Amino acid sequence: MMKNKQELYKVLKNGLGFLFFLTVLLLTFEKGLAWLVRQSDSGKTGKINLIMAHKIDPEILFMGSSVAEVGFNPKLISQQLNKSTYNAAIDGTTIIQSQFVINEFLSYSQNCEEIVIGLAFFSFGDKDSMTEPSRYLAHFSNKYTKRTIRNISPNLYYKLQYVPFYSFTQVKHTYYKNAVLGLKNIISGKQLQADKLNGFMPHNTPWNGERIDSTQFGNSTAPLSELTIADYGDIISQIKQQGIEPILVITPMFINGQKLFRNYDKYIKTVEDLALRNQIKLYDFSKSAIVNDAANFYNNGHLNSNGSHLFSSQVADSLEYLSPNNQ
Amino acid sequence: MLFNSLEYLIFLPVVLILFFITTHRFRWVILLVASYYFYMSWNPTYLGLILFSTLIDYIAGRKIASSQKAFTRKAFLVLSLTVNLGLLFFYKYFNFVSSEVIKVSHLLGYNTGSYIHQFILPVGISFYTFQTMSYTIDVYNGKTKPEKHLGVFAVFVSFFPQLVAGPIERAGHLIHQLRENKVIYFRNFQFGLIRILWGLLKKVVIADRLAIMVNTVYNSPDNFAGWQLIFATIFFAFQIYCDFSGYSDIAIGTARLFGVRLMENFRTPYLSHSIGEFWHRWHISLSTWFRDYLYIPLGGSRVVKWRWYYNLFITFVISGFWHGANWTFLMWGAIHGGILVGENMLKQNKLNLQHFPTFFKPVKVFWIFCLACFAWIFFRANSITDAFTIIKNMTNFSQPLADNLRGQILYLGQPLWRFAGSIFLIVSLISLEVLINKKKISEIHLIKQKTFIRWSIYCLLVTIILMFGVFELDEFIYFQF
Repeated sequence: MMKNKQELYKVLKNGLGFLFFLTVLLLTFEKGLAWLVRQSDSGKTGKINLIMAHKIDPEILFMGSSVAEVGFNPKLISQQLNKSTYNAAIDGTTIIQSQFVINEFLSYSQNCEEIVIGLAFFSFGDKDSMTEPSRYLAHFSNKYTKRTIRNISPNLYYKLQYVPFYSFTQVKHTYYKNAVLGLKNIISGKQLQADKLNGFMPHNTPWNGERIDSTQFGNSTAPLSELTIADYGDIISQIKQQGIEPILVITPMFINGQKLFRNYDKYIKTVEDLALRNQIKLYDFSKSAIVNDAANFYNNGHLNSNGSHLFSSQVADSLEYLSPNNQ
Repeated sequence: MLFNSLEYLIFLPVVLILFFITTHRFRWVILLVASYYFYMSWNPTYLGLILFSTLIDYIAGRKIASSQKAFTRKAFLVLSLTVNLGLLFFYKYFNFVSSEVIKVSHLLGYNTGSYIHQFILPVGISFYTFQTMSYTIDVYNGKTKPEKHLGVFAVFVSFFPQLVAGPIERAGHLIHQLRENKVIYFRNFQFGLIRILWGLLKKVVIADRLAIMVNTVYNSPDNFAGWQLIFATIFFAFQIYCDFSGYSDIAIGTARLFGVRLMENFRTPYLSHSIGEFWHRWHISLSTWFRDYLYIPLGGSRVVKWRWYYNLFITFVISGFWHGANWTFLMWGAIHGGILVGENMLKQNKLNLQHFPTFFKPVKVFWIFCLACFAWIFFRANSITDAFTIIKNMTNFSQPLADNLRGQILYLGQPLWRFAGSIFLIVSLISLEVLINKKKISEIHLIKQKTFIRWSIYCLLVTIILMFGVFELDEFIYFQF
């Protein structure tokens, strides 16, 4: 009996001691990593970090997913309009999924006049998962980040919130890579700053107009979820409440790509209705001359450097034409 | 509920606490409820099968032991075997046999209807039916006494650490442990924890990582050739080893927390010098089961030579078929059986490779690994046709190892760092296995270290699992058997 008690004491002492040791170690590691990742200004994580750390405040901010990321050339638009610009679009992530970035930006921005939202045929699909948590998990303590994750993926939110060290299971190698880059920035004393292209990610791959594989728009119906459309309406209202003008842009899609969709016209009409309902500007590039030439794209939906140059010039023209000085 | 799931992380400590705060008399209730809950987390409807099998084998065991009449004893043994093999056949082989019969009758010009049923294979059925069959056979042969307590017997059939994928325990080894009054023993916790962590690491860091590349290649073998197929096959060899031995490690570690010692299922099998040795080191609980309940009853090696070779071969063919209702598994078993027969023929002709000098050993290990890999092609391929396509394309080295997919250089569908990382993991595993094989490292060595060193190693393992693990909750490969 006595021996049994001694063993029980040993198990409890060692078990609790080890758990404490492990918890302190992993907690330090987890928090330390997140802090280092937040110091990185590289790639998509860098874009999020810049806004979450209030390091950029352009007059025109571009938002959206990959079509916006490779489409809007901020430097070119900046030169034409003489206004500061930044492309905060992140591939694979619609503005519903990156709402926390917009919310944080709206909470501090003093200079912003316009937020341009680039749209594509997939923008109004149902969103029930977050893309690449590695990009934003370092900001999980931020209230907007928590709200966005909870709205889109409650399951992920509760696990991240209540399961110790769950974040480790969600991050990819890019997270650790950004931690190393963040450490490099700290050692070299470099402050977080926007990259040379202001968030623009040009793509130079040539394309001859053929469908490359089935992963590219294999579905012939553009998703048009009522819930997602309503969420877009909410985001637009929030932007307007801050005195910033939201502008919708239907980004160019190669004409043969448009034909793959049975309801492409309905998608255009949905965006028009959204703009009309919220009384905001809409620039529709779905019928622009850009869409007729495969040389402007690197696949059906994404502009290459050549196409983005033409597109950005035309976006700048539109913004210039409709600016208060010209009305 | 998977061993590598969050649910299990909560389930295990709860059961452990309940087990040790309950008096010895009622601990079987905790283990039984926990085991049935564990099983029901997959599919509650199939609990009835375990209950049925348990009840039949319990009654059969009691009747076999109590009856003096040879006929009655034999009748109850036949009843037990019929029920267990019947369940196994119905759920695992019926569709396969039915579709093959239909194919043959079509060839003969008969137009038979389809007799495919839509049942999902109950998890672990191959394991617990084999475990209970061994019980009734052992009782019949007088090797073990029948268990009087239905509850303890039910725990023996359904003990959750080894219920769904073994090790397949023998009544003589497990039941008395379940009856013992277990006390908390610190060593058991140390041993259990290290085995669980090591098993988890093998499963989520190595096996699940390799699975991504193996699946890419084996699900479309026509698109790959040469080195790509060779690497994919080597990766599968380590995937299945880490997946299954990882599961066994977690099972052994979990059982040890409750003071129960399960049998070892793997002993560094890829360091074997012959296929015979390989089967003394790979899935030991199954190979010894087939040895004791099939190979020896067939006559084993104490028969004329041709009959001995036949016994060996047929045992392995049936062992292959145990893994699944597919010609690929049958072929896998036949290859192993064939090689083993060949090895024994060479031994008989004094051409035993074991007589070669020591420096030749690494070459033998490599050769046996190559043979095992060749057999794995059939085990992993989705069909016999795919397996032959892979073998045919393996010698076609016109295609480079890396593919260029829209400007992205991919190795078996993955970037270079992931491919190289997998090779690094395999080399690290082999190095550790060599040390384990030479008894340079073991759980005992680790347990004897100072607290700080031990805790640092545990923490390192946890961190590696969290940082490099794949957490898409892939089931363990052997669950499908």
